[in-house]
Amino acid sequence: MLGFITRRLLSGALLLLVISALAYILMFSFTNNIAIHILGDAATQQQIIAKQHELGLDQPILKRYFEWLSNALQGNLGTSWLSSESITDSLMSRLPVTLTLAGITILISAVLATVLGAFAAVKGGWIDRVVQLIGIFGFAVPNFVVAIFFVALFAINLALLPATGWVAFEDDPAGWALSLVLPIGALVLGTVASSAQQIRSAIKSVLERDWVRTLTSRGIPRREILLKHVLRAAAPAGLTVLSLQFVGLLGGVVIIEQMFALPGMGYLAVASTTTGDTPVVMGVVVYTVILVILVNLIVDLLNGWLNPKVRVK
Amino acid sequence: MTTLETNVHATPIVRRSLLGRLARNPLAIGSALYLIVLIGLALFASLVAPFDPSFTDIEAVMTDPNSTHFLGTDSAGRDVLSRLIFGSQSTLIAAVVSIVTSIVVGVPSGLIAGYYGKRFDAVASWLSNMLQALPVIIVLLAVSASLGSEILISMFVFGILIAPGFFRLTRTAVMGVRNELYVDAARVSGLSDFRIIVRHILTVVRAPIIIQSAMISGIAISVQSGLAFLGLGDSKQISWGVMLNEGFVNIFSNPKLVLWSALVISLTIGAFVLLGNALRDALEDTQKIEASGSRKKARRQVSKISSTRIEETGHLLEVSHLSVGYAQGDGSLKQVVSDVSINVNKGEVLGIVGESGSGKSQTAFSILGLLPSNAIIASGQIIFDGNELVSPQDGAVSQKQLAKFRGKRIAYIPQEPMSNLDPSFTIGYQLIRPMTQVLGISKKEARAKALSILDIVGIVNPKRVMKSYPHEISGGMAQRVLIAGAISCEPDLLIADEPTTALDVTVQAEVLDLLRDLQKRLGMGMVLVTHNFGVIADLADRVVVMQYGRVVESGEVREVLRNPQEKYTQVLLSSMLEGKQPMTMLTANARD
Amino acid sequence: MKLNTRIVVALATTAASIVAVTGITPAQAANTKTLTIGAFTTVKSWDPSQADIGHGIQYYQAAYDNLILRKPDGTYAPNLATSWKVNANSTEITLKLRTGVKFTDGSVFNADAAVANLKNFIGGNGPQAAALAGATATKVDAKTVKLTLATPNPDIEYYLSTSDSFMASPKALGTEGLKTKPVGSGPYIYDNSSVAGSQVIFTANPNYWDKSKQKFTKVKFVFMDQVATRLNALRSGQVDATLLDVANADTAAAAGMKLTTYNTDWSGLILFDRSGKINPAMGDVRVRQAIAYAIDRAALLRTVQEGRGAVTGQIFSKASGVYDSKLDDAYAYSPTKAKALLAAAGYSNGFTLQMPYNAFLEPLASFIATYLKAVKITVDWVNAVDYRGEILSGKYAAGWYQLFQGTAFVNYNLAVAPDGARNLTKYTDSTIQAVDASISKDASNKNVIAQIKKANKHVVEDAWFVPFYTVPQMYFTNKKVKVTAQAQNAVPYLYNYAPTGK
Repeated sequence: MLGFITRRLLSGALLLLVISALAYILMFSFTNNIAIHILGDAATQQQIIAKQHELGLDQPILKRYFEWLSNALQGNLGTSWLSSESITDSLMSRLPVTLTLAGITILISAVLATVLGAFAAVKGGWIDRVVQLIGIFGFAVPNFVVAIFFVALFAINLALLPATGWVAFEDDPAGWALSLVLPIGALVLGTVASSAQQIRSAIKSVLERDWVRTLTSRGIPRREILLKHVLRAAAPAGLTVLSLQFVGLLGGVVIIEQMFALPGMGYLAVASTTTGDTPVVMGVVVYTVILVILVNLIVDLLNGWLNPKVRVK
Repeated sequence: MTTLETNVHATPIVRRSLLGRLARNPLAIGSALYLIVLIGLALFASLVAPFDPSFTDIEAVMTDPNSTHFLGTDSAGRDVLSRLIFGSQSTLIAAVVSIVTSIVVGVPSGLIAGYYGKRFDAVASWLSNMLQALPVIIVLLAVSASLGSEILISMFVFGILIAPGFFRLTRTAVMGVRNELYVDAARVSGLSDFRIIVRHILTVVRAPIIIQSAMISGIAISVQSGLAFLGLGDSKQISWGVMLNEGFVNIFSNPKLVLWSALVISLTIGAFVLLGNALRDALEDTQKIEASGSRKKARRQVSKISSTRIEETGHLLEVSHLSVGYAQGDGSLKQVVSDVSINVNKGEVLGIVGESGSGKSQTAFSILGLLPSNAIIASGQIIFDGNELVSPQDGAVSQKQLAKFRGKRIAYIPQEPMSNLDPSFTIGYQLIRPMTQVLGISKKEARAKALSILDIVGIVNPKRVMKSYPHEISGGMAQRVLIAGAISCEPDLLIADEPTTALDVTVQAEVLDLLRDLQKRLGMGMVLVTHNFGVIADLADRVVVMQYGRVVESGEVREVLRNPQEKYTQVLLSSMLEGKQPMTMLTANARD
Repeated sequence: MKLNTRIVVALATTAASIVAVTGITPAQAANTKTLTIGAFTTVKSWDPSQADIGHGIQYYQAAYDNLILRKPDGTYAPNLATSWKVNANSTEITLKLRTGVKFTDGSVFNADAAVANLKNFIGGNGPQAAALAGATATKVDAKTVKLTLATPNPDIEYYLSTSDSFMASPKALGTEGLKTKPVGSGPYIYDNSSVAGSQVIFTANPNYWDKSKQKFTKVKFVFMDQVATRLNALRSGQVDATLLDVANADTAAAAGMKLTTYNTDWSGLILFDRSGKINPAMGDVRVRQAIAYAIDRAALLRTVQEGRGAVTGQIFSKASGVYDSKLDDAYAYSPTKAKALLAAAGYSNGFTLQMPYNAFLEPLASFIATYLKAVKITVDWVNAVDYRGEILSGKYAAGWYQLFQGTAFVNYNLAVAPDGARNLTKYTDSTIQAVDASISKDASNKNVIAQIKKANKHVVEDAWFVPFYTVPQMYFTNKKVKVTAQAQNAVPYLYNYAPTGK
């Protein structure tokens, strides 16, 4: 088990290295107008050149990359060109928001998708049809389109829920929950749609296994077989589906955070892209890749734990 | 034994062309039509659209739909309909660029990786995993930060990010086909690798690639609209995403503006996905038979043979005129069991013998109620100890009734030991739980019982085996465990489906001995399904021979083996016993 | 540690499901007076040398004090400087400083502190550094400082009452920490619960020397760069005051919000390339004038601005003193005249004009393109994800801009003077050179106004700009807060807000 974890972490580190190199060289090779942004309206040409020198924009790219890398390895991702704030700090303060969004979405989606997928796989018939249609609908309607409709209906027309803004949990738990309903609702719809279909397939293929038939022949009630045995056997496939969805969510929350003004990593990514604050974008890329690696590792570990062949060693 | 004529005929499976199958799916037709219209609009936009999409009319801003502007105007007085039409161009460009890029990157690399393997495969697979690790939007954000936001660039990059899907697909298909005989033959006959790949292997992946492309088009459109919506898209080029953003910005002053672009985006993606799904179903010929009317249609065809109820003859198990079939796509019924009547008495062993496809296992499963969910009982009756498990009007096995008997009075020994144990649970659990459920005893009692039964079936170290997982024991032991499980509740009827076929020869004999022993000891009725006359001779009292779903001959084992009446039985016997010592006399004598 | 707590809470709550709760707004105790502002910008650095005028000034006003206070009507009052004198040629200002003021870290405010801050600003290469470029600050005595300018600046009081004289603790100046956390003497103290880049929170400074400027116990800035977001936040009570725009004004008013409106900017095209280096056509005054004739500003005002604001033909405001109403009629809408001018210049077949573009410019950009197309000028929009950076890079012959209308001198310096930050091509001609020379010699208010009047007339006749209209700021507050507009600033000064008591 330990060897497994080590190998995966090393592989992940290599991945991070390659991606960071590619990303850095790609993004920092192009001149951008960051100096103008920092200095604002009244800046003169001299000031701009001075600022660019201050930011090291006139150095060769590889040298800058290795400087960045050596800093990054010590945990320092640099400072934002725009706000002089430590990128690590700002990312760490944004991370909980994004994780809350993605995490709660995945949890709710996991439950819903499993329920729907199980029903569709076991009962078949019209439920199966409905789940398929939900799958297509949820896949076809992008999450931001759903979000727009939610906003139009719930926030504007019915004025039931706040259309934007993040309320910190420690400030006001009720407000926090309310502010999450619409964004998470929009995300859940799309996630459940894609997952339900795949979970249905996974459950269906498990239902066709010989031992399901044999256990039934032994008199164990169908419900117990489904809940205790089938779901357990379908879990690895389900976990894989959900982990892929989670990775997709890390991208999907970007638009949702933007629409609802939620101060997460996605929002930061968009803002720094439009203002050309490249170090921050770089930081977001690094954090995202790390998250992906961690999620994959956790899923692999869970799968290993679920599988007696791996566990009992 | 004679067979009754029925009105239900076995219909051969009709293989339609791909288009034909697609044409039966109304959603597929609708989607295809929609997309064709869309492509037409995109290509001939300048001819079709009533206005120039950038033509502004400062006096007619945000108007409602009217006779000049069918869908109204936006905040710059531009015609919404025209903009939607022209917007389709960038949408389709997005789809085309991403698919082409994705295929060009993914398919050849998958071909090479799958065919030649080794280092290229290792590197390519690692790259593929890396690409799949990246969330698409974050990468596209980074790209637009540096390379700009032209639609061609972002869709090109997106295509690369998605290429692993095609890479995997192609690689898997190629690896599956690589070692096929016809490829070897081609190699031998001198065809170059390249020609082999192109001609033989590409045909295999053609269909999955098309399906994948349909799905990817949907995603590409979603991504492109999303970027445009964020303001990171190509704002110069009219696209539905740009229109959506405009609508959202003005959502308070004119909520309807959002509607049209949102609708069109959803419909287009939906059409691609539906088409992809339909293609996949058509190729696998797995149209949703259960949900569609085919199943019902097939059922309606089933003739309701008036139940001439067989008088109570006191058999333990009575199967009369059983017919089982599966619905075909066109509503016809493919029969696998036709008008089969058998019976088993208490303590008696009935052998069912036949080749694969004879319907013997299906008959056994019918008795147990373990047929697949799409099976239809076309006719017949199954009565177990006076209880109707299947009655003529039903068309299905009564799960309710069977639930009372399964495990307790009717038990099952499967053919393949390893696949019939749940790999995630210990042997002990899988023995104990049914007992606590069916017999209502405590776990402790069940445990003790399990240990003793394992002992009876000849397991050397019951305690260790109880703690083990299925993968930790051998095939022979597993089969013994399954037998143990079957008899654990002392059933009246045991259905054994080829119980020794999957075992090593040396183990077979042991297990057969065990079965014989247990059957005698517990006085169980047994239905023994096999293709092996030797096993019949060894264990069975009576035998039934099946072919093509029908009973060909039946009778006492000694009689049938010595004096087979039907041609088929004779052929079967001779082919099996060719060159072998006839076991029948010896074993039959041994049993007396 | 706050960071870890947040993470733990977030992780713990991901395991919880959402509970349906009836609508509740954040509860606020009756006797704490909180002001929550929906802010359009964030703070880039708390080093006061990086302060800018406009939207972001409120942040600095919370933490720091200026030397001079600028009142809502634009007149000046004592602040950290109790009195001051400007010399005849506007090259020197001497200020007498207030005593008894301490910074939050305990340091004393005195002449040394003031000099240190001014020096920090002069050498800090911040957004407003140009105004004090080359200046020197000297201590006269413990309570007096003198600021000597390199070039005459008749509006020096303006600069010292806005972004140029925020005073930080001398101990904090030059440290890295000052970038992320302010140390000042101002009415509010930065609270550590702030989340950089999204929420800045201040609590009242108990030792502040002027209670009249401290009307709240807590001030919170929530960063929301999108107007739709700010509107929703205002309606739901998440913020008390924020800047909206014309499109959303009616919705806000319908929700019971109070509008405070004032002019600050003009919106229109800046025709940077008056010498034709980037686009030869643009070097011809007739072409530039044709562009001005080609656009129907009244229609634009009606449609894009919903009639809010006023059509204008000049970049100087009515209050600036150099405004000439006759100049507004210089280029009344006439495509015919435009075409004639273009023909005379040799462009009867039109030409292509490249301008930067971004989605936020809609629908204005589309209208501009249509008007220009009607006189055969084809606009080639160049997509710019970063609009501001793109247009200010100087690559374009022309582009849309929304420019601030300050005092006459400030405006002139910004957009007309050869080294003006918005004179991207550094273009100048004999008329403007003459104006410049005259002002250097005689920087008295009278002369400055007279000269800039000449400059105004010249840039209109020479079609340096094509202003469309003045843009009224749409500032909204809810029932809990009232506010007074601040002349010539995008948002009211922080001192102008007060609780209503509701």
